[in-house]
Amino acid sequence: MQRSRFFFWTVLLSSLGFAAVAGAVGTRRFVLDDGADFKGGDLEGVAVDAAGGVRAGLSLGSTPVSQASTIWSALSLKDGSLLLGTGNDGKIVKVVGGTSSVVAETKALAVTSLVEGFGGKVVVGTLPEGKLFTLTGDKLAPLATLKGAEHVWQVAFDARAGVAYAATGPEGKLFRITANGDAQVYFDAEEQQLMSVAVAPDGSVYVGASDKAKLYKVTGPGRASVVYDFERTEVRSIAIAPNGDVYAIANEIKPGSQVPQRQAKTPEGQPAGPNAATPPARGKGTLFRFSKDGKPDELLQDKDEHYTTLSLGEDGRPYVGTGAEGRVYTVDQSHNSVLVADVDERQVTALLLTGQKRVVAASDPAVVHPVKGVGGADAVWTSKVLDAGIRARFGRIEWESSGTLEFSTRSGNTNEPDESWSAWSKPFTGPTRIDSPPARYLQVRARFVKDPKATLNQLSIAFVTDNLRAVLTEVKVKGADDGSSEEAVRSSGGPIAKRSDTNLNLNWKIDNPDKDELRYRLRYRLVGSNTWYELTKPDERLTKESYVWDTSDLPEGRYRVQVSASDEISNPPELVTKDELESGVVIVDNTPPVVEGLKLNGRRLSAVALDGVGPIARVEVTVAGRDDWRPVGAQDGIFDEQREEFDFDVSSILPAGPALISVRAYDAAGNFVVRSLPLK
Amino acid sequence: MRLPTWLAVLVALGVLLPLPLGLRRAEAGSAITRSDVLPLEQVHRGMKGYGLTVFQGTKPERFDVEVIDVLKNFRPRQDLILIKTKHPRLEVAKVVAGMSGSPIYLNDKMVGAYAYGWTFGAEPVAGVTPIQNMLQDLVRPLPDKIDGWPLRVLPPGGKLASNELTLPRPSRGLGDPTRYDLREHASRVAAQRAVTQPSDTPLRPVATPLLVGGLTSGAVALAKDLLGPLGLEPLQAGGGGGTEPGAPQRYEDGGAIGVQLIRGDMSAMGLGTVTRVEGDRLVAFGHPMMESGVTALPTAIGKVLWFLASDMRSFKIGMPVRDVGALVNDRQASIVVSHGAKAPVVPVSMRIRGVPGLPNANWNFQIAHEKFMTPSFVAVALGSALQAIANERQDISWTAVSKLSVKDYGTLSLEDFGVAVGGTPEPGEFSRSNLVRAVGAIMNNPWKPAFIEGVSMDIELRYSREILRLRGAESLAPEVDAGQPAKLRLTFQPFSGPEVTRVISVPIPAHLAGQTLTLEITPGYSEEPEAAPPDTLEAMIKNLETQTYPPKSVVVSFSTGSPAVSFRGLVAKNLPPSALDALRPTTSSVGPDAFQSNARLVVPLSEFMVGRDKVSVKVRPVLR
Repeated sequence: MQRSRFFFWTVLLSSLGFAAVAGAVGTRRFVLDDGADFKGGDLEGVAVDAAGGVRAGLSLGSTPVSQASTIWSALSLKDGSLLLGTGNDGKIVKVVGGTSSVVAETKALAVTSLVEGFGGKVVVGTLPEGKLFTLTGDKLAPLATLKGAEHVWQVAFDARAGVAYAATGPEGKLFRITANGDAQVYFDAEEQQLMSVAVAPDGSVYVGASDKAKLYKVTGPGRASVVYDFERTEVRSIAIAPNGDVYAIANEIKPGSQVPQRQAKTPEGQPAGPNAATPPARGKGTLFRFSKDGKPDELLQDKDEHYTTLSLGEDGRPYVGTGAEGRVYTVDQSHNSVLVADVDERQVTALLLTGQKRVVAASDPAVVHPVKGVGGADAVWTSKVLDAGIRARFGRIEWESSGTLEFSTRSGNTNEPDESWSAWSKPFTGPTRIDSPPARYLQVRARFVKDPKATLNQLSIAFVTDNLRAVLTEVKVKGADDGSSEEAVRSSGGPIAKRSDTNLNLNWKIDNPDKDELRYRLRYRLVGSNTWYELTKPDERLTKESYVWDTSDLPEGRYRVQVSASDEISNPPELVTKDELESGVVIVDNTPPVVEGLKLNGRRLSAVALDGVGPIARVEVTVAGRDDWRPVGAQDGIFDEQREEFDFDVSSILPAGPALISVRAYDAAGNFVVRSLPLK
Repeated sequence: MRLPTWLAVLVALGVLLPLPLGLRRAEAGSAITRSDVLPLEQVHRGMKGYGLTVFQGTKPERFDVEVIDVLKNFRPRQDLILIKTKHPRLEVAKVVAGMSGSPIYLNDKMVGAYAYGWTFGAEPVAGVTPIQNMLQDLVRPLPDKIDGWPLRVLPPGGKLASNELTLPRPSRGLGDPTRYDLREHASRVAAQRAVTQPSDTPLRPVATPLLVGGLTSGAVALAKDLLGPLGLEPLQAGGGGGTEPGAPQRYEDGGAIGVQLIRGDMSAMGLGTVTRVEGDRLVAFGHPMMESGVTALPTAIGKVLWFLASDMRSFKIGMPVRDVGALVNDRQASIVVSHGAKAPVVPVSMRIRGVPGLPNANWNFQIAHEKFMTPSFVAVALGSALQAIANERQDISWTAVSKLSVKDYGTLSLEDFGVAVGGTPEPGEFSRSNLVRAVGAIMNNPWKPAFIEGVSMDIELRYSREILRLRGAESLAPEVDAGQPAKLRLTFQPFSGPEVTRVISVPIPAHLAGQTLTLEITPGYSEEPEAAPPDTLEAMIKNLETQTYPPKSVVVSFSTGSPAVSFRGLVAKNLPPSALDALRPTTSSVGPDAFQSNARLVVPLSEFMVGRDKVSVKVRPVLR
């Protein structure tokens, strides 16, 4: 779910006249105007299209299926009842008039597929152990055990040929099964799994593979061609339209950390107990349409969720169910997608959207949602929880809609609505000032009771938060040895970082709880003086948390910088708050040190290094022309003063013949000087 | 006065005074009076009286006693009467294990049971458990059922049909019973007992003498390991016994009583003395046997052969002469035995093959059906039989195929094996055998009561060292084409003779192209097939039958990189990630257990493999 766009309407809004309404300086707005903004809350009988329209959607009932945790497959029977293939106990559940009951138990882990075939029987696919059954009434009979298969992922029935096809794993085999249970391998893919299968009107069979998401077209025993390689991990489902168009959903799901190595067990095994919670998978899904000639067209993609099921509706459109947020989307040929249902369960795992019995079957937990119709007076759109960041007073709510909608709001200080929240406000049908109490969070709902065909296109809510003082927490000067580096003790040795110019980079951090825009002012003083000098110009509007300080025209010395933060831009004068913080000592030193008295006494080199501002930081020596600088120690053992003497035996670096000895001295600001001395 | 270390000594005896069942129930928990019982308040220093115990044979005889004093609150709500005993044999033997329970009379009224004594005591001084405490145990009501099985004890004089079984009490503090380990079980039961026993005091009870017969020394040592911490001390001093024609038909006060933990070609009996018989029930010992509460262990009328005097601890040598009744309650002050109850036992038969000229190839015995005793004595018996037969210096390889019959669950077959280098298998290793673990796991399962109907073992011995030591493994090609098998050459070193090599082909799935696989080579007996965690007794029994791959095999395994799940007895391997996600709901913790799939190749061998190795193989993608 994406966060709603969060607009800062400050001075602009003041100029538009909002100040008189809601103390407009600092006023911001929640603006919901596209599909992502309108998703994430609760959708009952409404649909959200990608362009941001909220309109009548699927109106769903709810029948919990207590006998299962997962619904893998669904089949509508002629008598109006619904059969569900479920897990994790391999039961076949029948739903009649809002009541579910178990009609057969396969003793498998999951009934992955239910399809009508072989003269009114229901062909049942299961996993593991690769077993197929037929169900006649409530009589379950074994049909075949597929050799070389452990998982039957999907079964399709070819009514013309009177055979069933089973897509299986883990050896990637497609089986062709006759009515008497004879099973032959029809196609053997290189991939581990064949997860989906569908029979086209011309008798060709389409199968989708995993772990490489390839869509195959099988035209005869062993004769297959790749229609498309999705470059993902699985082709989860295939649907074929009467005109021969092939729809397929493919996903990218990586085996994550949820697959642990099995721990050593005792021969008897640990008794089964509660499972540790594991994070649910969240992949990426895509929906493609392939024309009869195989031309691909990507209709829909989701980077946040994978797709779990695909079905064609009576309107000819493809509908997909998602695997992380329990949503149902559809899309037209122009790629306009619409979120038509959003159920409470995690996954939508089967869709039946044609015929008399239309359902959305969801899993985790298992619930069947009969489609009662489209829209209706009961349709309600409830926004996601809108977060103002801190406590806020809410102002005017406005919207754009094509019909009359009835709005209500509620507010609270927990990120999920609970008993501490206010009750829903009295409904209103026109723009008004929200009377929900001040709080951090707000929710809005719109009922379609006045006009079931209404469309909501845009919604905005003004709010102003409490003005909280921003607090400066750190001022850093980069490029100066002010002791504010993250490392308390720097590594010894190595060259001193050079500064290329006289600019110092000032940075500061601020804790700004109400996130209003801040203005910063900077000034400086010499250490030991109480006189402050302005660094920023009076009319300079500095709103960034950084500043480049040109010190070229400053006298060298030790300085401190003060940063002052004010929210005067966002608040009227009587509400303005300020905070100030000083930096550590900043050394402004733009001239290098000098080396005096450089001389050689035998093999010993001696001199004095002097700097006007800071301490001498380092002295090095080399033979001119080489880049092999060797450090020289201070005579008193430590470089910590503006004047340092040094005396060094150069025997170890001297070449055999004449040479030029170079000495380089650094000050703490990184300025350096090089002096040389010939050695005869 | 600093008391020397107390040692409890077993005793037993009894007096008959039938009371209506209803009255007994009404008395529970209140002061119990009998006209022939002397209240403790009337006992004082210097009183003289007598006791009854069996010195030899089955008939109780008198010995004189004199009260030293009464030790108040020796155990929770239980005093102890200190007495000095006077009898020529007791002057020598001092305190005698096996006398526990001997009734003590003052003023011709019963006052309690001889129950405690000192180790290395220089005087024949003992502690007497007041009879009132024992009578409270005697009248204590028993539950109708234990572990769901009817506990039909104490019919007033009636006899139970042979198929009416009583069951032992639930295991205490066993933790996770399906992870069955006999020694862990022993230590838990011992720790539980230690909580209820006096500690850091000289008044600590000692072991009940467990007179064992027909067991090897090694098996006795194993029994000591397992049972010693429970207060039972196995002594190789008993015999199998059996019914003697002239043996008494019923227990009597002061008579010898044995609690039979195993009987038949092997025997183990805790010996003590009956204190008091009242109708169908009696109390004995004057202290607990294992303080296991309501239970059902077979009992027998005992015969004393001799008082064995010892400076450390004297004890009676005895044996059972007639099986009568069952121990039904094991409490702080006594054990309670019912004449009419019949305790369940597990018939065990062993057939031993492969030993030329073996006079007794078949062993038959019965083990008490109890959650700890049954697996313990299965281990002891199996170890004893093998040690007795194979007691020599040759290398021995053995295989035991056991049939374990579980009521309502049929018979499961289990295989154990071993190679004893230098002869004589160590009995201790049988506590870890598949059979013992299965018996313990089934009896202590967390789902429902389980009854072991019988065990039969077919043991085959071979005088050879059937070991193939894995010398090493090599891949004949470090890279293989995806979908083609990897060929491995395994080199084995047999006990005698030259090295042998074996080339095996390991199928490599095509989808592993581009990966480098680590093939692990392990003995079949150390590799466990994937199985679902059991959630029923039936599922656990199924798992028990496939604990490992065949012992004489080598297993080559590698990770396929795909997830697998197991649930309700099913294992689904090589799943795509989306299926794993669908199979594991987030809204319920009742779901499949997920793990990584392994591919395995099992290759039979002629002998047991020792050692393990790894080989890496790179799987080359094939472009077609």
